[in-house]
Amino acid sequence: MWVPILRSHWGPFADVQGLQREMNRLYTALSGRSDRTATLPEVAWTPSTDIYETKDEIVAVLELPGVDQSEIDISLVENTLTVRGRRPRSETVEGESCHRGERHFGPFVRTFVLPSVVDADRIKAAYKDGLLEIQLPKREEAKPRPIPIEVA
Amino acid sequence: MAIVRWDPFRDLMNLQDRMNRLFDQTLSRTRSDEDEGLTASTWAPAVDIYETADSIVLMAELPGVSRENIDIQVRNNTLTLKGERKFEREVKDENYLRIERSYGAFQRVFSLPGVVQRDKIKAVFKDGVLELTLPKAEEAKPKQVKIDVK
Repeated sequence: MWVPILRSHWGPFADVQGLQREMNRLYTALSGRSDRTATLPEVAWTPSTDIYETKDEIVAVLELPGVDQSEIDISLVENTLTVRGRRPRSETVEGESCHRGERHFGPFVRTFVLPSVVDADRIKAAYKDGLLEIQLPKREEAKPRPIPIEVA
Repeated sequence: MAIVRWDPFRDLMNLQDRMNRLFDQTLSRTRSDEDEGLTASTWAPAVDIYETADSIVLMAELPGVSRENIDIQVRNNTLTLKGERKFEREVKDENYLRIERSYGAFQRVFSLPGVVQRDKIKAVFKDGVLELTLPKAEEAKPKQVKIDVK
């Protein structure tokens, strides 16, 4: 006898989310089976970042809503900028009274290799309204310089 | 260019990172339950909703959105949060190396788990997080029912 299969709450994207979960499991399995003794940094979420360049500096803007400034760590090693920190979980969201929990909590790390030579001594960072803006001024010799054409 | 020791697992992590961002961007518009229909928006902010004895609390991540571009409406049991994150920069001679943030209009519609007192809703916007506190209507609060023993 033919019995229809009742699938409730099937959204077309349920399959895509399943795919994302599977791929993450694969990555975890791959890294877990490594022989490396160094540990991969523990990362719970990755803040969205815009990076743009002007003639004088490179600016990185990270979305870090609800993060305490004291929990943010910025470091620049040669041309590599690393921003790490954490957002602590709130107990209210974890309990049974939570209807929806989409925000990410816990540690985050972003690493960027910057294209031109920046001056580490003059790096500045400001956190306002949930955005972390890092200004990295370029070193003088890295700035574009117009080359005059001599008339012979 | 600086010589950095090649770390194969960093590449793997980057790939995983990028894959997750791709999934998150694709799925954020459809991160919905039965109550959200197709909405006219290009991105959707992450939202937490939880309930206390007295109120329903909603926290939405809206970094870089200015106050006047946020619109909150409550009708019956439905809360609509919409607005826009404008893409503006003062400096004109810039060159973008990476754009991951979402810009443009957003809209999310939620079905609230109870009746709320509309005139007592509080909204606080701090550090890019919008916190809405919706006090429950009296009849929606949990009440102890005493059982008489006869």
